[in-house]
Amino acid sequence: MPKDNEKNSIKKIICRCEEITEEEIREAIREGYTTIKSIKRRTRAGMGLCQGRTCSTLIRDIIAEMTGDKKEDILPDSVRPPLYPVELSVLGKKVNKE
Amino acid sequence: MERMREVELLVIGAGPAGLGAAIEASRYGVKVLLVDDKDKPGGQLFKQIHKFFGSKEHLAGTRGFDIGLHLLKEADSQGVEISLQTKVLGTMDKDVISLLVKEREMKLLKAKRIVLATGGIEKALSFPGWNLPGVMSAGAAQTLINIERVLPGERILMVGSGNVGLIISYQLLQAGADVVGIVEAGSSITGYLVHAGKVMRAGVPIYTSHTIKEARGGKSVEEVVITALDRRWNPIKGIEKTFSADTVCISVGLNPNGQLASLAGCEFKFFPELGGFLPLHDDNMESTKKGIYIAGDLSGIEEANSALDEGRLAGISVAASLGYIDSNRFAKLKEDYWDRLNKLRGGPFGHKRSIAKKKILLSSQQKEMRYQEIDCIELEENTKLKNYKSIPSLKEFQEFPGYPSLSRIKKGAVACIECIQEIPCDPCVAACPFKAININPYITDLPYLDENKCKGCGVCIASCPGQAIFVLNYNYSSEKAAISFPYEYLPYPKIGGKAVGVNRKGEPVAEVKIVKVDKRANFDKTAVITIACDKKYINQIRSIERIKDDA
Amino acid sequence: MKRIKEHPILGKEEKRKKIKIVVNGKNIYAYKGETIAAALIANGYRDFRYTHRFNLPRGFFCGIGQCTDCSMIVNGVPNIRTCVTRVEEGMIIETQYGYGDKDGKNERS
Repeated sequence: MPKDNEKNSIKKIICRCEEITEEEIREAIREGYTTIKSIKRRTRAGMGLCQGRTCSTLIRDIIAEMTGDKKEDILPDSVRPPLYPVELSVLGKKVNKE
Repeated sequence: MERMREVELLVIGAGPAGLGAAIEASRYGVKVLLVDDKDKPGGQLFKQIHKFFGSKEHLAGTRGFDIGLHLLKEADSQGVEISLQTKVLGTMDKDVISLLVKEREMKLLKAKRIVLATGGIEKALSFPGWNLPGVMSAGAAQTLINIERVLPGERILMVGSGNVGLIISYQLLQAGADVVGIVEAGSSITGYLVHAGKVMRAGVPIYTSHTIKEARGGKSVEEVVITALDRRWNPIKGIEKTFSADTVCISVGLNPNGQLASLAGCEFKFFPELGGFLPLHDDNMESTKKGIYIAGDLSGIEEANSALDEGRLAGISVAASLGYIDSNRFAKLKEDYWDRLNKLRGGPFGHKRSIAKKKILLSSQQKEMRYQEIDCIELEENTKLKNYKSIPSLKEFQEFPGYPSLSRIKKGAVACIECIQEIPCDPCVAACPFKAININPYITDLPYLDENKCKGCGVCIASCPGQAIFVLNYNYSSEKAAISFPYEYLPYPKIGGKAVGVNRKGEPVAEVKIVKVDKRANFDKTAVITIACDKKYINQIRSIERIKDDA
Repeated sequence: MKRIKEHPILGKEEKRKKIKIVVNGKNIYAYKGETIAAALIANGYRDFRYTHRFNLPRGFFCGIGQCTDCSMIVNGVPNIRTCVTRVEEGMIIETQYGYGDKDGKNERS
């Protein structure tokens, strides 16, 4: 995780869950990560508890601005179940039963 | 091992779209299970305390929560089974849906058909300090004031002047907060002017071509900085304002909540007019995945009436596909719903959405080449939306067919309809006992006042969800004119007392005397206040300053 | 902040049962049926948790149990979304630091 410039970049967080700053997102894009999915893997933005529900459109805007890609071509990250956080014990219970 | 439950129709989301689908499908005999992740059904309806637009079949003029109650009653009488606190985690296997009930219990289920009515998600806007406590989505603030009855703060900045931002600003005022301003990045107000009119009369400034630059504070918001934007939406250096504020509400639109649809394998496309990526659907509301239907904000961000009608349409489509409705009957019902939906999407506000919806239908049929036809429709239709940066001048209002002529005003009490944008709404027509208000042929046409039929009785005032009707009585007395207007704040002014008369922008005009406070029951909580003022203010004063309850 | 006792559309505040909850060791009153977040905001609390990375305050944000910003430690369990969890008599609510895990003893780093 890039630590340089951290003091300034604290000012504008993009991913609230993982506390990833705008500067970190921009740095990843400059490094060549230009999809929502690859930025997530590079920076952890969108990997937190809300699963990118809040920040993915913000990241799309930054990608579009920096790369000139059309927003409609910047696809959302693929969705995987479970859609909501579930305690492992609850998941486990079911698997045992069935 | 217990046998897996199988339902005919699983409806996911119990907002207006989901309720509509469940009600209609049940009506024709489909066994429906309606699930919602919240502990109460109704989606966002129960926090909508304002009177809704629309026509009679949409219960226009009724407050959102009353529409919610009405729908729950309808669902109950149709025998819809509702499972609350039930989250859909996904599909475990082919056709098997996994549900999480009350966070503790997993259930597996099969469904012959699914209606996804998962609604919208409020868009975010990032700015330095948006992570501070006190910055929240406008919808969150609305839940606090109208459901929990707790103020999120006392001095609030609203970001975004769409209908949601305007309505929630108004509701924050009704709850007793101060709204220090509404900022709008665009160069004009994006919501309905009548909604803007309500907050402006209450003295809330709307800053167009402005955005929030920063929220500052230690443990929570203490002040906010807004900045002017140039035509390219870049901040103009030096044009900044700092407000003391404890709360910032973000209302910059919604995205369709497509996570489940995406998981189900529905094909998506990007429609910015409808909120972004959304699943394609045909004219039965069926997605590209057979047996999976969508409705409401998921199929494009609109409003509750369209969501409800799309839900009902999806419900009858499911019933027909399962053989509960014969094809002739279905064709007729379907036509009716499309007729209603097209009416709601009429007029300049609905125009872009209407075109986008047509594009969705065509893309779902893979008729890409017909895009050119759409472009033609786009050019042909001459419904250009007139944008306003602020409340227009009196002269502009006077050009519209709801504003009485000067000679009529001088003859005595007459309605003055300041509804100048073509929005889908018509309760004023039915309210008038003298048939003096007409809206035709389309519900989005402007109200026309037949000033000779109008007796100035004023029952139309409270019927108008936009609060855009006033009654002007030039001949109240030899010196004074009387002006009546809707008022939904506490405390009410006292009869015989004095108040500060304000104009359409909330600017003080003159001291006025309160002569009547009409709170009759069928006005449904909209009081009609009549003030007496100097005759020269008859075309200016439209409300009074809110009375501060210091007690 | 304050409770809305009277409202032009919603009328007078309904009579609800008062219950006691404990917030960071302090007894406060809440109403049965309301969410933890509402009870806290009504009692003037706004910073519900402090973040893991930058140790910055967070509070009520999305209001629909989606963003997890309003998470707190409730009856010893961290990451409880207070905007969708209703108060119960005697509930023990604590500010969450970081992930609120016991290893970190839920203390500021």
